[in-house]
Order: sequence, then structure tokens, then C-alpha cells
Amino acid sequence: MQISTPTKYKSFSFRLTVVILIVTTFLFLLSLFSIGRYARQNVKAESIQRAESTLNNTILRINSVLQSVEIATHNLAWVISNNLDNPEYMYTITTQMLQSNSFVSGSAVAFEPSYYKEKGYYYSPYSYRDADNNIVTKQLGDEDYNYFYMDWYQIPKLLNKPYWSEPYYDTGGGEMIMTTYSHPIYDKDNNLIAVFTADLSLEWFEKQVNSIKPYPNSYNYMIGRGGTFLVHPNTSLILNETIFSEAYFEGDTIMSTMGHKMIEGQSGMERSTINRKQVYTFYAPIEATGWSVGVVCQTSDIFAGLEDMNRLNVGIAVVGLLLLVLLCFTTIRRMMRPLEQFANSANEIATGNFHVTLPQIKSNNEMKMLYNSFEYMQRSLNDYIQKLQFSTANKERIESELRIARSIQLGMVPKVFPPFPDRNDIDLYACLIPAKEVGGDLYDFFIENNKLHFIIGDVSGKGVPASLVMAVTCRLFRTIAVNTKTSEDIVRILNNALSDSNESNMFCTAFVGILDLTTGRLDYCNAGHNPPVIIGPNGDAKFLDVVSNLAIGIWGTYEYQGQECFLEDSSILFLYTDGINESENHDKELFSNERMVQSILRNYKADTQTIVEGLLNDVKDHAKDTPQSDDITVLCCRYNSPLHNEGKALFKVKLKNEISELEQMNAFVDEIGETLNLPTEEVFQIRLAMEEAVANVILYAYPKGESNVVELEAQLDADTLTIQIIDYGMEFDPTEAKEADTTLSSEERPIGGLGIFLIRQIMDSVEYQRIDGRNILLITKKLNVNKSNI
Amino acid sequence: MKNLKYIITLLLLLVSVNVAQSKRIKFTLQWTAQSQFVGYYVAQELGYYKNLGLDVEINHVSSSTGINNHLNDCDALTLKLYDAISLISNGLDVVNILQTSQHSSLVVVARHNDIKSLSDLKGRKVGIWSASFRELAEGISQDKGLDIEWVPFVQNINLFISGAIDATFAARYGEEYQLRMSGFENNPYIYLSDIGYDFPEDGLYIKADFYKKYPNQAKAFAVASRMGWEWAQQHPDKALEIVIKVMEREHIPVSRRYQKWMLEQILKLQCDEKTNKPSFDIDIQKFNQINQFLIKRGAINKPLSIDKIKGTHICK
Amino acid sequence: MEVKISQTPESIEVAIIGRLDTLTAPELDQTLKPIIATTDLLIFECADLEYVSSSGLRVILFTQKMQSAVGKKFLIRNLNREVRSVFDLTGFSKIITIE
Repeated sequence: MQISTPTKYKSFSFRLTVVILIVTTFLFLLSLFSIGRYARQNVKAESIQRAESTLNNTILRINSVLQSVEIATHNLAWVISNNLDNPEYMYTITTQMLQSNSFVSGSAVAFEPSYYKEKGYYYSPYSYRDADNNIVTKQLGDEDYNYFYMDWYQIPKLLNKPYWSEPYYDTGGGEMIMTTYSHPIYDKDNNLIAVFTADLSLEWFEKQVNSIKPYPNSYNYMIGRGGTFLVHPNTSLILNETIFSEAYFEGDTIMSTMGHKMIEGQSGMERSTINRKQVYTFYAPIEATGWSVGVVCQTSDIFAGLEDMNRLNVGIAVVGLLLLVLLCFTTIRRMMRPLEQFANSANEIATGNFHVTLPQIKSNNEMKMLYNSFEYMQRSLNDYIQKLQFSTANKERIESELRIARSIQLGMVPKVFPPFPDRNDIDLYACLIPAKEVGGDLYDFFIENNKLHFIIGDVSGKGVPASLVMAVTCRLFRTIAVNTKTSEDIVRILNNALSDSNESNMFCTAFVGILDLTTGRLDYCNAGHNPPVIIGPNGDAKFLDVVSNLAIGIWGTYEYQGQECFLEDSSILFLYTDGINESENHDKELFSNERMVQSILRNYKADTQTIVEGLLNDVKDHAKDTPQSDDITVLCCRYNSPLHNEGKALFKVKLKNEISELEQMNAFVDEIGETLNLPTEEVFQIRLAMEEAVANVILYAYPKGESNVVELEAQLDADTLTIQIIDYGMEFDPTEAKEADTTLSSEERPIGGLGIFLIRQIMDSVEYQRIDGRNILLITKKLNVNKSNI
Repeated sequence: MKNLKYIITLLLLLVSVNVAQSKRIKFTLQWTAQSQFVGYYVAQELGYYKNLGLDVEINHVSSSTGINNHLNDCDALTLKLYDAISLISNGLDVVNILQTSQHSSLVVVARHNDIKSLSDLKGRKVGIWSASFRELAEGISQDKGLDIEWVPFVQNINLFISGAIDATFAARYGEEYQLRMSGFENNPYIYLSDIGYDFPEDGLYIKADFYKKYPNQAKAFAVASRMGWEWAQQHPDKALEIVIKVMEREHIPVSRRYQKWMLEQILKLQCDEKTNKPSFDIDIQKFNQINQFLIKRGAINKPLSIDKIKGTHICK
Repeated sequence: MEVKISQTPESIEVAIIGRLDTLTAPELDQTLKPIIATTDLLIFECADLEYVSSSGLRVILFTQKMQSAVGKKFLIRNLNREVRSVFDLTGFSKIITIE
């Protein structure tokens, strides 16, 4: 856990509270919404029922009154039919109508024109109630009150049936808004005699209709058959406007549709907007008259209770949420307070004060666990620090010892370069970089008998154990190599020695070589080591062909096989351990043999130190930050053939391939002998060796009859005389010829085979090389010459 | 130029009237108070009559009596052109001093959708005003051979609603509105102006002897009335208020919407179809058409001359 | 090279003077052909023999083989140090009688 200033964090209690608040609010809203929806449906259903039942009750009441009027009229019409001979009696009948029907405000028997000649064109006895509610009578019809064109007369006459007139303001009659029930009376021939009427004040209907009050703000209206408002809270609409004119001028298509349903006698409910208020209109017809009653209820009224409930619910929710937030915040904060103290303690501990006092936890919960963990951490830290201090001291001691070991180890390999400042036939540079303080790589070299003995090796493993084996190997090499002629033997003896005492089963790959600096012959033995690189004078690189012998130290009796080759003048022998070519970068990519060779070739004309340092830089660049994982060892050596060295005694002669030319050879030998002031014995030996070699070439190198040459060259390098016999004939290696067996008796002994034997016997070395179509026989002899003679 | 002529006339009249006492004119309108007569109400209310020295007493007939019962108890009255030609030809001595309608307002409204043209009315019960248009309607019926059972009415709305009639004549400015607003907005409406009976209607008539005796007052009456109509054309909203005021005074139930509709229709019918402006004069062509219609009907024996109706013969 | 032949009844002495090498060995071979295997004792007087190469040795070995094939003797006398060392090196000292 990263410890930082706690002020940068949003407090845990805050965040937790916000989450709880969001979730709870969501749940509240969900439940409020569901309850609201459900309640709304119920309220709506209930309100519809309520409104409809009130409406229907009222209509029932109206219908019963209308029915009673209809029945009364019907009954009295019969009386009229039976008293037609008494026109004055009609007044009695109409008065009786009013007396027995308190709802009826007026009644008339309107006769057809001139029914009674004596009564004139108009005769309509009429009873009505005056201002004091007394029943008075009068004759209604005259020119100003032409009742024949009145609805209550004309329509039932046309329809031939009783008729409730549309309400009208009766000027000259009732002087009020009323509706008239008209009952046509016919004679025996079914001709209309009169129309018997009963008037009902519209006021009465108004009272009935307005008794419907399902909601405080609801209002009612009644329309006639043509949609005319008969009852309406806005009295200016009554008889003046229709539901259709309202709809037309208010652009209310719902009302227009509803108006049609109403005048068609349907009942039902519509939802619409009047004066920007949502309303429900319930309507039902008064069947007797064809009128329709509408009850307009405001939605807000219907759902008023629901809205109260919603407001209450929301209030409870808000208060509840606030309480919840407060409670959550304080509780969590209180519970989390120790955390802050723990954080402060942790900061203290981070600064190194391990004995800081921890907050006191009384409760036995997660905080207690945290307290225990902290306490444990404190204790562990203390222990750990103590251990750390101890181990650091130990480590420092070991490191110091290792530093000393390193300097000792590095002191074991030759470290002064150039190692042979007064020799120009060899340019050598070597370098050892252990990966750790001490390593298992090794190299060594020295010159003995004009031969460069060298070794490069890599002990398995790293560190101190490897370094010990390395030290042993180094020392053994020195000791063995001085007294051993061939690399093969050196390796074999090394192997023996190491295997004998190899308790830890450590082994060492090694490449051991003996380079004859006179001739360039390289005798080498590879014990499981990387094959060295040879760079020719022209920059042609190749890996030396090596036999894969077993690494040394594994099997004491292993038979090592040596090899040999010749180094050309100016060629480079490059030895290395796998710390070079297997150097890794952070992508685990190896430096590789190819890059190693390229790196060498980049500087191959420069001195060996430059070559090696260039290579090491390339390896470093490759590895970059990746730490060196393996020891790195390089041994690089350039061989300069003494035969090509100028300023040395050099004798040369060219012979024809004729046997008589041996005289020339003798003269050549004599010249050498005289020049170098050689003793007779040595001249004899040189002559003998040369004659054997040259005669052989003259006789056998070229096909019979071909005239060619044999070149002789002699050179003195230090105390060694090197003679080259060169011909351009067919390849022939005289050193491979069968030697004479000198132990045979004269009878058994063959005549030939003595030449090469003699050469070997009397000279120090005989080498054959085939270079560019030339057979080159190199023979050397160490002389007892005084350099000053040269 | 026209305005100048008015102003000169007015000035002349003012001078002449100032000396004399106000001349009383009993003026009877052919129906109860409504927007149909707006020009006269305006002239009265805005004092145009008074300013010209006229004391105009406006009377209305009752809805059940009709103008025919009041022909003799007034000095001036409004008549349909059709009725006027017939009445004058039959001896009523009145002259037309202002023609306030250029078109027929009549429309036949059918209760059933299968009635699409006049010919579909054959043998049906059709409502017609008891007080007017009966002659015209019968003439048309005769023209088309319709054999209609006529139901005369004072108010046709409830007849129509109750189903007592199959169709009814109606005025564009009156019953058409009521029918449309009683749920019959989608029924067939057949306009007479569309089927060759575009007979101009209301005009202002004055008794010939009054006209002879008080030619200046008669002229002043016509001018003031015309000014009233022109004002109503320019200020229909204010004119509507005047109509409503008059109606309330007359205890006539007021529907502002109905009166507005009527006002609009009346003012529209007043306009000449070519100029789209009121000419306040009789279209001679339509006048002759009515003459012919009436002769064919047998209502008159010979065509009435335009001079006779316009009173020019009296002035000579 | 010079060859001097001196004859006694029981032996022939051939004195070889100078260098017996590839050039001169055929000459010696020719000189010996009539003599070889004819005398009981053939002596090579080598006091003045300066040098011998393998060609010379081959003639000497041939002579030894011929003499011993017919049961006659062959000996070499007065070899100088250098020549003697060649005889030693080649093992001739062991198969040829040297005085």
C-alpha cells in the first residue's frame, strides 16, 4: 500500500454514503412510482364509478318526474277528449294539471285554428302560476302569440306523437325558460284537435342537475337534442351556445365528438382539456327528452387525494433519506476514524519510527484485526531490521574478501601488455572480466623454445568455486606446458590432474595451443571449448576446425586428440569464452558469433589491443543495462611470420630441376656456412638435410622432361636457421613418406626411405606446407651462432 | 369625388335640418334584433340619424308575426328585394332608398345525407319561414317540379333536430349557423346563389308619400343608414358590440358567436361579387331576373320598372 | 669424388675421396660393379670421405647386400666423425662392419 497524504482522498464515508444515497433514492423512486401508478388506476376506477353512479341517480330522479308528468298529461288528455263540447272546461283541466303536479308550472290545451268557431282563430286555455304561486288562467293564443308555429305545437303535430320541447323562453306565455310536454289529441278520424301541454320550468332541471357534486370543483351541464346548453354554470351560454359552438370556437375536437355521442343518447366518459385543465367528463342521456347531462370533473380533484398521498410519500422519502445519509455518514465516519490513525501510524513507521503507539481498539471487529496486523508488522519490522543489520555486516565482510580474491585471481593471469615488447613476430592482447568479483575463466601464455604456449578456459559455474578451479588449472598449465611438447599431452595431463582431485565435479573447457613462431605451425587441442576464430591477412575469417574433445576434469583417462594447422603471416588467432558470443541484452538476444566476427573484422588491421577493446565495447553496447551474466575472456594474437621479416639474414637461390644443379645447392650451403661462420659439423648436417630434400624434389617433383625450378631460401631468426625448399610441382608431402626402419638387418632393409628420416634426425623441425600451388618444405635448425656474425 | 358629394350633401342637409325640427321616422325592421340590421343600429347608436335631424324610431317585428303585418304602421322598413317587387307591383307604395344585400342568403339544409341536390327534395317535408320566402321557395319548387310538402316555421332548428322535417330553408347568416352548431356540420348544404337563384335580399324602403313629402329627410335617412353600414364594414368588432347592446335592450338572448357569424355573413352578402365592395344599389340584371321569376310564378302581371322601385319617378 | 682401387689377393680396397652424394653415388656404383661379389673382402677406405648422403648410403647398403649374398665380407674404415654420425643415425653402424 502506498502511503500518501490522506487529504488527497475523498473520504470513504463520503463515498459510501453517496452510494447508499443513490441506491436508496432509486429504490424509493421505484416504489413511489409503482405505488403512484397503482393508486392512480384504482382512484380512477373508483372516481369513474362514483361520478357515474351520482349521474345515473340524478337522471333516474329526473326521469321519474318526467314520467309522472307524461302520465298525468296522458290521463288528462283523456278527460279533454271526453269534454270537447265544453271549451271553458279546458281551464279547469289545465288548472287541475297544475294542482296535482307541483312540478308543472303551466298547462295549456291549444286547439287547432278556429276549432271552436265562437272562440275565434286562436283558442288555447292556459293555466299558470303567478308570482305568488297562485294558479291563474288565461287564453293564450292571439296574433302576437301564434302558437301554431311554436315547437311545442308544431312538432308533435308533425310527428304525430307526444313531444318534450327543447327549452325556450316563452314570451307571452310562461315568461321563463321552460320545456313543454305536448300531447296531441285527435278526434275519431284521427284529425288533430288540440295539443295538451304541461310546462316544466328549466329551473327545476337545473336544481336536479346541479345536485350532482362528486368533487368540490366539478360542475355539470345539460344539453338539448341539438347540443344547446340548457344548464351550465356559465348562464350566458344557456340557450345561446351549443356544445358544438363551444367546441368549434375553442378548437376542441374531443368535445365535438363527445357532443355527437351525447346527442345520440350515449353515455360514457371523455378525457379532455378545458381552460388548460385536465378534466374528465361523464355523460348520460335523459331518454324522455333526448337531452344529455354532463359532469365535468377536474383531474386534479379526482387525484387530489392521490397527490396528497404522493406529497406525503415524497416528504417521508426525503426526510428518511436525509436521516439515512446523516446516520450513514456519522456511523461510517466513526467506524473509520481508527483507519486515519492507522494511516498516520503507518506514515510514522515509514519514517523509521517503529515504536509508534497504535490507536486503541476496544471493539472486536475488523479494526481489531487491523490493529493486530499492525502490531505484528511493527514487531516483524523490528526483527527484520535487526537481521538486516547483521546480514549487511556479514555481506560486507564477504564482499571485501571477494575483492581481495579478485585481485589475486586477476594477478594470476598475465596482465602486462604487450607481453613481448622486444618481439615483432607476435602481438598478443588478452583480457579477463569476471561477471562477479571472481570468475571461472582463465587464460595464460608464455614463450618457450620460440614457441608460444597458451591456454584459454572456462570453468563450469561461476563465483568462488569456479575461481578456485581456475586457479588450479592456471598453475597446472604453467607447470605442465613447460615440460610437454604437444598440446594433446598438455591437455591430457591437465585432465588427469584435475580429474583426480575433482571432488566437486567441476569441469573446465579449454583450448590449449602451441604456436611455433618460426614456422607458424599451430599445434592445438580443444577440450570442449568454443572454436577460435582465425582471421587471414586479407580479412577472411573462419572458425578453426576443432575436434570436440571432452572438457577437462570429467574423465581422467579420456584420450584427447590434438590437431594442427599453419598460421599465415599476419593472421590473427582469436580465442574467447562464451561470455562474449552469448552475452545477452534485456530481450534475451545473444551477441552471437556473427557479430563477434564482424566486430573483430572492423579493426582487424589494428593492433590486438584495439581489436579486443573494440569488441568489448560492442558487447557492452549490445548488453546495455543488462548486467554481465558470465565471465568474459578474450585472447587475441597476431602472428607475424619471421620468414617475411626483413633485416634478417636471407639466402636465396633458384635451381633447375636437374640433378647437376646440386652443385649449386652445395655452393648455397657453403655460402650459408661461410656467412654464418658455421662449424663444419653444422654445415655437413645442413648440406645433408638439404641434399636429401632438394634431390628428392629435382628427381620427383616434376614430370619427366619438364623443365622447372626449385627455390631455396634460408633465413636466420635469432639462433634458428629456417630453410625453405619450394617447388611448383605436384603436391607431395615428404614428411608423410614411410621412414626407414633403422633397426632392420642389412638383408631386410630396403634401399630407399632414408632421406626424410635423415632430415628429421639432423634438423630440429621439418614442416610441409602446400600454399598456392607450391610445395613448401620448411626445415629449421637451431644454430650455435653469434648474432654479431650476421 | 364620391366622398365630396356626400360631404356637400351632408352640409346641405345639416343647414336645412337645423332650422326645421327633427323629423320623426318610424322604422320597422323585418325580424327581431340581430346583426342582420347592424348598419341601422350603428347609424342610430353613433347619432348619424340625429346629426342629420332625424328622429328614427327602430321597431322589430316579432318572430311569429313577420313584416307583412306591419307594412302600414311605419314610415320606413326593410324588405327582401323579391318581396319588395311583389309588394310594389301589388300596390304597396314604397321606394328603395338603399340596397344592403347583393346576394341570396338562402341555403337548403338536408337532414339526410342522401339529399344532394334540390331534385332529391321531391315529396319531402321541407321547412320554410312562415313569414317570408314562401313565394320564392314555392317558385323554385315549381321550377324544378319538386312537389314539396312545405312546413312553415318561425324557428326551424328544433323542427329539424326533432326530425319533423327532412330539409329546411335557412339563411346563411342565421339558421345555417344554428344548424351547424347543433351537430349538423356535416350535412348537405345547398346554396341558392350557386344554383341560379342568387336574388339580392334586404333593402331599405321608405313610404312613397313620406319620400314625396320629405325628400331631404328621406335622402338623409338613406345617407345616414349607408354611413352606418360603411362604418360596420370598417369596424366589425365595434359594430358587433353595438348589435349586442341593442339585442340586450330588446331582451333577446344573445350569443356573441352567433351574432359575430351573422355580422360577417351579412357584410359579405353586401359586397358586389365583382368589386368585393358594397354598392348599396340594385343590380339591374338580378332585378330583371326576379321580375321574370315573379311573372312566371304569376305573382305579378308585368315586370316592375327599376324607376318605380327606386322612386325616381317621384322625384321627377 | 675420387675413387682409388688397390687390389690384394684376398681383398680389394676402394678409397673414396671427397663427397659421396647424389651426384657422385652413381659413379661409385659404376666403379664397383666389376669388383663387387668377386673378392672375399671388400674394404671402403673412407679416411678422405668428407660427406655422405642417402644416395651414398644406398650404394653402400647395396654393396653390403651383394657381398653378404655371396658370403663375402665388407668393411668400412676410417670414417670421420660427421660421416660416422650419419652411419650411426641411420643404423648403418649396426649392419655394416666399420673399423
